Amino acid sequence: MRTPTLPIPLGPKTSFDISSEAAESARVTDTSSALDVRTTKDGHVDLDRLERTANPSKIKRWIKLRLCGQDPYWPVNHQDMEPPHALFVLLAERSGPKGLTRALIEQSLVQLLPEVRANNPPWRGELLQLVRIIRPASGFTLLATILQERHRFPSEQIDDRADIDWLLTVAAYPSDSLYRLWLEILKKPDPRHRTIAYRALAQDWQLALEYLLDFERALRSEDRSILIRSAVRLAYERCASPELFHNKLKLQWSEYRMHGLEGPVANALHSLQLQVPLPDPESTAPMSQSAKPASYSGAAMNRAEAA
Amino acid sequence: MSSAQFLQACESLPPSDQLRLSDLLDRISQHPSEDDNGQGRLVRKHIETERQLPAELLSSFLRALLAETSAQSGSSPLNHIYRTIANQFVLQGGFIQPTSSLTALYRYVSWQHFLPNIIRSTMESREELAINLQERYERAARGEGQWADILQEIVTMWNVLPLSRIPLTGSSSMFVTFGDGSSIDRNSICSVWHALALYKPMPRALLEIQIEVPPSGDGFPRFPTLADAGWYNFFCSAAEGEPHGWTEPHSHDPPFPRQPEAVLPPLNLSAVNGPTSLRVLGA
Repeated sequence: MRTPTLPIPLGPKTSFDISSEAAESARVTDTSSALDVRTTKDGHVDLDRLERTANPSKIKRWIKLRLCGQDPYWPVNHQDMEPPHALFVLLAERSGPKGLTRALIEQSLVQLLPEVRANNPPWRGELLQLVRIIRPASGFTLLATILQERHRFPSEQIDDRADIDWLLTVAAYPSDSLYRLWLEILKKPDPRHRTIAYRALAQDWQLALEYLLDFERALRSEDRSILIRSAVRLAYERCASPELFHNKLKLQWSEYRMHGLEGPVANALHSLQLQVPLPDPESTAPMSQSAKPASYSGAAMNRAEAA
Repeated sequence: MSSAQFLQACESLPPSDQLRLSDLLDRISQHPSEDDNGQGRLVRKHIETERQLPAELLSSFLRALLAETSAQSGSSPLNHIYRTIANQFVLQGGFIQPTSSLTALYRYVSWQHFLPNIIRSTMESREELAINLQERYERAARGEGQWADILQEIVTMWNVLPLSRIPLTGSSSMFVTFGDGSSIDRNSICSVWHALALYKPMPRALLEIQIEVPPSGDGFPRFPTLADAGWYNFFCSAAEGEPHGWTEPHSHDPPFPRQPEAVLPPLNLSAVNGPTSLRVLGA
């Protein structure tokens, strides 16, 4: 029996012959610059075909077109609220840490950063979001430079969406070398800057507990319990063992008590059902700010100085 | 309607039509589902749904179905059958009072796609929350965290998120309902994904939002059913004042007319007091 064909909605374009269809769309008129983007049976981009025609400039162009909303190969699925960057996240993941597609995406992102920095295009947010997820190693130097430049501005002047995006992007990279800079930003009055600085520091779970108080001070009262809980949970997830976590908490507990953070942290541990015994209040004497435990900033400071 | 009533409705047709109907239903039941994104199964499901119509309406439905097949030379492509179903009955029978089992609507979205929208909306008013969610999203996208953990965060924050800005029930939304006796395992992302014939590739996680519809004396427009949801990607919401939206034709030949799809009017989440259930499948 002949199998009838329904006009089936398959999501993104099915097999897509870019050499003919894209030329018709007038978006890709030069077939030598076209990528071969086709669909596998399970609906993914066929990586083998893609890599046969891919080079850095083509991938860079594709990223730019897609983030601009003009993807000639794989239209954004607006019905499902697909963010444009999501496709490249998926491609990089499928490609694997040492895959060609991932390498090309990383290279393209790094090449696009100066353009975004110079022109601040409407697709800045999507590109930086992609950078934050992919984290191309070679992009860090440029991002760190941007952070240092922008950090010199008075806080009133960095109070815009673009600067928040850039700060977030640098904060996504683990880096001891920016430790002192993040500490300075953590003291800024703008709660967003402090939140981002804490985010950067908290990639080290010990620092997450050490600077929890600074973070807490940056928060609006209505968000405080939610975000303290979230921070404690994330630190716990990043910690190697409950025992280490408990020991660190014990070191911090007096400071938490002194500044009224003891209750919110205890509530966070309780509500998250984390199997961490609370430090015994009697066993931890109150500490002054000048008598912080050796780990308060020692380890990270040493790393920063070494860097 | 019971099977006996269905048979009775069939028997009201002339014998020749009964034979053709039998042949048609056989063809539909044999339609392979592997290579059509589940559409064959969805057409069958739609017919099952139509069995719940009053006997008189069902007879009309069957007659129209056969008339459609007669109008085609040779074997009738299933797209024409589907068109008949949609045009003759989804539109004409467009306002059917929901039964009690149809007051819960389910919205399925790709979790990875949905989260950036939440973050963007939240960033406008609660930036510290948004920055926190952003970090969670990025970690999960890098494979460093579980999507389920992010859900936990969202559930925690639900009451403070700017729900009215999040397009759960707005113009681009599509809902599905599950009829009584549905064999779909709603705990399985594969089962739901196949049943709804959602876009490809299958996402790693689907967010299911269940919303209780507020009672209304006027009845609701007919909800999209499982079959309708197969056209998810092509669905356009209704213009204001229209009783239904449209599913746009795919560009394949032969040209396929746009399908009327009646849906719940756009609702703001505040109108439904938030979702009664929010969970992630497949995380």
